[in-house]
Amino acid sequence: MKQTKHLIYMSLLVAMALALHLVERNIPVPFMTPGAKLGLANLVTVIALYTLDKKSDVAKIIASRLVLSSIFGGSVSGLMYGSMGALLSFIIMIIIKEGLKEKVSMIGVSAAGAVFHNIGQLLVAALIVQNIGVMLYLPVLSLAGIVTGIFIGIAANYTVAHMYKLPFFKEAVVKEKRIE
Amino acid sequence: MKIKLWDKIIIALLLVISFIPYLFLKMLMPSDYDMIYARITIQGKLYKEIPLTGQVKQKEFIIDTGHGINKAVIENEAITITEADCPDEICTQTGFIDKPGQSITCLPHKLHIEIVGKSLDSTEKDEDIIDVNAY
Repeated sequence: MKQTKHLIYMSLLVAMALALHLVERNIPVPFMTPGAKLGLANLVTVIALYTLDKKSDVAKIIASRLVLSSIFGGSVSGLMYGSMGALLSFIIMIIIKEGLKEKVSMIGVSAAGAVFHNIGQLLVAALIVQNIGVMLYLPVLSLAGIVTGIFIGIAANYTVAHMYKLPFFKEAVVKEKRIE
Repeated sequence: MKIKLWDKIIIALLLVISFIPYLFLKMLMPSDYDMIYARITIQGKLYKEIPLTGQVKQKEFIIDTGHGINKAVIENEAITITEADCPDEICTQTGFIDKPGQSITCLPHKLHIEIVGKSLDSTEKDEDIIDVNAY
């Protein structure tokens, strides 16, 4: 039963991430470099990082979202940039979260995740066109990433705080933590 | 909810990190230039270098990248991509570029157009400096 609830919770997170990803694709972002996106799906990654015990579960959620989002109208090259960005941002978010623990809030974690997602994507892009000049896009992209990262951190903070009020969630996650 | 001290430190660090490649590449670029060129590369290989300085009249040409076709337009000493047969067409949204360091990238076609500034013969400049000292 515990396992089933855990599985359902993870599936819900994947579903939310996919929904956010598909919605944000249809939001036009005017003042930014072409190709820039808000990165709303990072919200789910941050929530997962703070609610799931196993880091491998978070990685599973990210991987499922990446594959699913490219099936839902993405491209293979998009998956390549996406996975490099996601990998880099995942690593850096874990380092910051585990390294600083209580000293840092979700805001710092998600902002760092957003910026390193951009760095990862641009590195792949630079590799593909074999020109490091692509990195000149970084300031614009990461400024936008920091701003959305801050708001996503705030949103994630509220979401997680409210989630602990849910009886289902208490049962599924909090009790599990106590047992282990 | 409060923003913690380390959040601010992280954000400040992120800002610094994001400007490092910009500053680094800026240093590598010559600051004084007399002419600007559009350097078109496909997967790192030079395809064409077109002088933009003095190119005021509209000129259209097709770049066959081997992965697809992009249509570029030069006008008023600036270059842009107007059409592409790639799925995302991000390159067509970039618009005209005319300053050294600016670039248009079409990732599906591995195409990169960047503006480079070049100064006229550097030996000429050395002579200029000598001249200034002599008189």
